[in-house]
Amino acid sequence: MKFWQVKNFYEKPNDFFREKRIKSYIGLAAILISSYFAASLIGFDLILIFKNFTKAVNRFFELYIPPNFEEINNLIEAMWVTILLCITAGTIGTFLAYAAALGMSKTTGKIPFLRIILRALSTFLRNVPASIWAIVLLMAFWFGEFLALLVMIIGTFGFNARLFSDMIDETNKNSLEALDSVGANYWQIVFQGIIPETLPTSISWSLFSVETNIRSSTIIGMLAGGGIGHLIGIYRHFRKFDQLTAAVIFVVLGILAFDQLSVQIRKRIL
Amino acid sequence: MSDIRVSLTGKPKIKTLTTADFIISVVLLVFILITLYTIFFRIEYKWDDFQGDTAISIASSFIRFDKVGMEKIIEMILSLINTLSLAFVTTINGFILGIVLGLFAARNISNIHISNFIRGAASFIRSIPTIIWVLIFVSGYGLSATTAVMGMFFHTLSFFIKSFAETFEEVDKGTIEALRASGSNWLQIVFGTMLPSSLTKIISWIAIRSEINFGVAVVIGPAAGVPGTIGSLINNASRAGDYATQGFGVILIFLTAYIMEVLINKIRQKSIIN
Repeated sequence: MKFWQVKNFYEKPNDFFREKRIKSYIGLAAILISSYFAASLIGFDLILIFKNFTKAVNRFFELYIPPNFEEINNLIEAMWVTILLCITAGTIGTFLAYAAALGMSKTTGKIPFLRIILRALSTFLRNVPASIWAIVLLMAFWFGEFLALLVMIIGTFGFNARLFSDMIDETNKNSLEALDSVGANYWQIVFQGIIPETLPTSISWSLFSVETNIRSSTIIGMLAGGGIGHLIGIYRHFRKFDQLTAAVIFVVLGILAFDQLSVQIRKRIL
Repeated sequence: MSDIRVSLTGKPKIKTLTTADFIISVVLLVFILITLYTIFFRIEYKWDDFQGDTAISIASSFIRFDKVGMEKIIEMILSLINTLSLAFVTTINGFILGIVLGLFAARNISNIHISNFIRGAASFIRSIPTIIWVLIFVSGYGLSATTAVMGMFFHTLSFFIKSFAETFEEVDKGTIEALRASGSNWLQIVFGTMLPSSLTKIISWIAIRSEINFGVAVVIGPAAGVPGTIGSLINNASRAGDYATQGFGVILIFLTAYIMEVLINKIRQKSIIN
């Protein structure tokens, strides 16, 4: 190899990196330009944010602070109902999702037609946001705790069904084969092989579902009724903003408390 | 023989009960008891309010697209584009600030106190529902897209801080050490190894958050009263009893979200994010 070829050899990787860098700069520029167009399409005003920021904060302190705990009994009652509804929806949704996952998974789903139907159903329920279900079902069921429960069950089911079917597909095939070879029937394989192995993960996901439900309970309650979200909607409608702050404090405390609880439980079971 | 544990029925116990098993059964029991209590004693079932004929007409006209007028279809598609833009603008804004704060929150290149402070603030922001953030800014900015973006921005920001910090913490320790040893300053470490080695993961996180933000943007219309989003149109159609239009809107949302999910799964497989 001649010495001038050595120089050439070192130039190659430089070109490669320069090309890569130029590509990523072009990508970045494309994203920024398209976000600028999107912003002007919806009328998003960045300058207004900075201009009116102090005004917005002042208005916020004027309206919402200090919190008014006048109706604290109502708030505690509503929060208790919210937590009950969220846990119930999480439990029922998880059970239904597990049952659907048994039918959906390649390992346990024996009927191809049922597998396709369940997969399509869970895809559909998962991809439409839970609150849209609240709007759709509202006209038939009217406001109430039952509708909120139904909406949360739909949300939990859609989210968990696919997760669980993936989880069942990932179970240890050897133990299932062993059970099969000693003459276990289908339900014995499910109850002795699959459920014990997937139980801790399922519990962890059901805790996560309850967490998500509590987080979304505000918006679901506003749209569907039931629990503290409904109360927040009422306070907002009657412009009782100081009481709204008190309700929000309850929601935040509920979320933080349940988060800590589920973190502690998850640490011990997984 | 004394060390063989025997169950009540006299069978030998193969498995011993661990703490994890005990906690699992307690959680399961508590959840089932709460469920039974809620279903049978707590919820008010207002069957008088249940509109059977409305339910049937919703179900029957859900996919009757022939009943949807042409101007309604155009309006829906325009509002869908609006909703997508809302989600996109929020994601980009959250990303720009989130990547800076994410660098400060990553424990391997930041001060531990700064990192803890940013993480704590992010988790506090996340515990306040999005809809409340929107309500807070309504008084300052009015019911506009600016308010919606501002309200969704905070959750997006805290999501990006958390996920980017975790991504940056996975960057190879040896590379950072080598750069430090050769005298690089903080910025050189960031641009030399942190950003390049986590680029694919950052793109995946942006895609994932775009999907979440689309879901939030759909809902934020009817809940906070932001006009021009697809959620508000569906809400109006539902209130007016125009169930065919409502069904069309739901299908439109489903298709958009489904396409996003498929794309994200493809991106995820490239970058291996769980």
